[in-house]
Amino acid sequence: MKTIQFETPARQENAPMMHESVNHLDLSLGISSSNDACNYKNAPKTAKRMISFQTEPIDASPAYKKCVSVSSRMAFDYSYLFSHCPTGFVDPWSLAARQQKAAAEQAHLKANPNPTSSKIAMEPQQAPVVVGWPPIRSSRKSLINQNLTKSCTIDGKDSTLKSEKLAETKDAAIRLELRPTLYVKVNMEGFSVGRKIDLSAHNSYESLSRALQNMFCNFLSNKLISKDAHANANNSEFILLYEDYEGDKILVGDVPWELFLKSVKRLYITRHSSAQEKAGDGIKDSQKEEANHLNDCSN
Amino acid sequence: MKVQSAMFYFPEEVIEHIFSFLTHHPDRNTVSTVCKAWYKIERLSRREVFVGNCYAIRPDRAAARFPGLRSLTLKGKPHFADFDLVPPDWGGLAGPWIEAMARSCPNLEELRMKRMVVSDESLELLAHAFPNFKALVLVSCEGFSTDGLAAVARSCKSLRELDLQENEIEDRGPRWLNSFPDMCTSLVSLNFACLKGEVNLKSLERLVCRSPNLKCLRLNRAVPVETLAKIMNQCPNLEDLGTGSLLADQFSEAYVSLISALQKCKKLRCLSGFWDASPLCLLAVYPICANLTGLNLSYAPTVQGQDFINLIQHCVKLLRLWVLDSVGDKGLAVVASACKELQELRVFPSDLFAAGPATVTEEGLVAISTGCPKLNSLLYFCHSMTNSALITVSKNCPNFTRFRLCILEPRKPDPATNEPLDEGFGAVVKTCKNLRRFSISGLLTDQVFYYIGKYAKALEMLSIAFAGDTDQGMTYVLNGCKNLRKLEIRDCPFGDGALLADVTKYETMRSLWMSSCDISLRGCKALATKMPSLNVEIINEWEAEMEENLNNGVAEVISNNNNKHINNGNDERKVEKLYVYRTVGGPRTDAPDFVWTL
Repeated sequence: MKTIQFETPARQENAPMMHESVNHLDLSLGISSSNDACNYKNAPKTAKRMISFQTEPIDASPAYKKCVSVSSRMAFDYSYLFSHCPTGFVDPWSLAARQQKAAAEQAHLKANPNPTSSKIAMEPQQAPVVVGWPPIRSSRKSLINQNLTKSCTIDGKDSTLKSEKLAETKDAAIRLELRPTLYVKVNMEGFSVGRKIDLSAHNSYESLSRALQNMFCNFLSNKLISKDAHANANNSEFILLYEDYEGDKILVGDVPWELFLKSVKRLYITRHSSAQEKAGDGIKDSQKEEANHLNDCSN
Repeated sequence: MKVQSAMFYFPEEVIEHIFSFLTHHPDRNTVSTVCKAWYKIERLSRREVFVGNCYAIRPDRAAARFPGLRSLTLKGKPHFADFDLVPPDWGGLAGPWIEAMARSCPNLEELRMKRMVVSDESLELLAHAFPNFKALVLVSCEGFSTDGLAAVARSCKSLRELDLQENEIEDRGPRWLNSFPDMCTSLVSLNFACLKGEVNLKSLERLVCRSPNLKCLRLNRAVPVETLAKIMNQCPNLEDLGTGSLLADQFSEAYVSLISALQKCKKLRCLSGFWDASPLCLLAVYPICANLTGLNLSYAPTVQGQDFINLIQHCVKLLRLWVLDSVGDKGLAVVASACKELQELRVFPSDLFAAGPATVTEEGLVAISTGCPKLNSLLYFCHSMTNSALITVSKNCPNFTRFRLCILEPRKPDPATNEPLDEGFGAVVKTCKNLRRFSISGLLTDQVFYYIGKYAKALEMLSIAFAGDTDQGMTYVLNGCKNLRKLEIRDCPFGDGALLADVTKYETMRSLWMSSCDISLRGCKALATKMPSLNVEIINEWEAEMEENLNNGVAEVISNNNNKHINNGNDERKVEKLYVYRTVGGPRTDAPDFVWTL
């Protein structure tokens, strides 16, 4: 089973951009929904301009080569936003996307009281999603987002395990359908203020990891730590833990995604070294709890 | 000559009887224009009306003209509303229509609506106003809840058909199924597959038990295999089944029961649903595959790879197949070898970004065209396409009436030659003389529109996105496609020149949609001035600008009829969305603030 270490972003090309925009409190969750694609009515005008690609009249010459070079540039723009989109397509009309956008907008207003058009600069993770493309209905889009099958491959080996998994999947499926958002608190070690993230907007550990990285990378930069310190922070390992219904802190990544969603109550990001200490405490705590539990049962 | 004058001496009943053989709407519309007498006879004997755009005529006028109406079909929002390009609250309200019908057409039996906003109150009115009401079909509608469904179930004594396809229905609990009265035994068709919530399973079983005429039943995901098995045992005459969730343990009683139940359904022709389908449950379906004509696996990402192949190779009589692209080219090759009668194929995307190993490419399409020459309807999502593949496909299948190809990355050229896909799509229009509906994608220049204008003479609906170079492209289409009824364009470089190239053309069409193109307010105003029989509606984000002004203390009263904003001088502003349609109803009275009729 794969364990997911909460490491700093693998894509180094993003790091310099984050440094440049230290004041630019970007609270995007890594889902490219932080522009008008989500909320139709409140969309800033500048963001809308981004969607339309035809701001200048295209040269009338129909020569294929020119066409290809123009469109390959366009295609490059597009392929970039399509293939680099970290978390996959998010329905811009979904509640999650709109809420994220609202959060991002609020943060922008706090950080920059005079919003300028440059705030929607073309950072890789800020690339606009094309509204209404591809042309499929939202009922199908949500099916793609859920995509539970990746974690639920039935091998045909152990039938009892299979049926358990089947039941869990169905449970998770129905729960996900009936409950559109699953916001949990995320606390980073050393910060008294935490964040909230919608787990139902993700379908895998990878996408959750990326979202959290984006969320908290800026946390660090907002603190105006010096470059070196930031680099150090980037290099040290962070651990992602979650707390389940029983109150235990568990390393994220051991169980299938759907099971994780069922049991997670909140998330913690801690440094690797301090996790061991906490583990020590945790063992004591859980032993106490176990003792209590046993007492209860015997009663 | 002699025959002509003789017609005038026919009594009305005879003419009416002759008209009863005319079922095709355009024919009936034509005879009504011959003379006043025929107009009167036609309108009184008209039983079915199809209104392709609910704003083309006022509801009370339609209701008054056809008092004997039994069946009404209405379409509301433009097609691109399916893809979130039309803001909510745009319109398409069913209320005024249902009220008008309630006043003037009490014999209404069937109501079919697509992309309209229906309220629970309207459904309540519907349930009470039409004593003979038999069939309600709602496709892609919204605005109502399960309470509205309960009202219909409760009060429509002879309800035969309740068909809900792809609607947004607010779930207010599972009790609506209980609302079907105990004496209601007339149900023939029930489809609630789009309902997201729980369903009262006991009520469902009882309802099925007392509906001996049930032919079509489509369940939603909340219905488990156990209930499905019980239901199937009750109705062995079922012809169309949409399963609920097919998650089951192979040793469970439910599974065994399902297998035996399905084997008894000799008349089953159409299958859909397949949510969470495990390969085990698919095994249960094998015995009936040989007779299937319709199969919809497009909501079943779990059915892929070898499971799919094992299933599809039995479906030798299949006419319609809807799948996800996770079946891959390999799966499509098996379809091509097994389903020789295939007429309609739809392949939906399962993953929008990574062209993984198990998605479809042009090879899958070519294989299908080689193996299934009767194919006439195609919707295909893929990551890339080549000209040579399209040329081959059109040679193999000259019978296309509907051809929609969506390459997921906009403006993507032919990867083999790096050229635009003009020749490929051009080949399709050249060989498929009966092409009525066409959607194109990928890298396209004006050349493809030249071909469309020149060859696609039967074309009625064209959807374009991210294509073309100049106004000439759109002009080719407007000039050449004589039967064009609906044209929808997004993100193309067509400007005022194209829009105004042939303004009278729009009167021959149902509607035109242009979004994110290069048209300006001036062009739209010019169109509105020249053609008063059209509604020229624009939807703009200038609203956001206005709101900003308001927030900054500039006091401006914004009302629907306030032309200040439109006429403040800057006509060069680009229009984000334009919707033009012919109408005899004048500008609509229910347009929201962000829609301006010029």
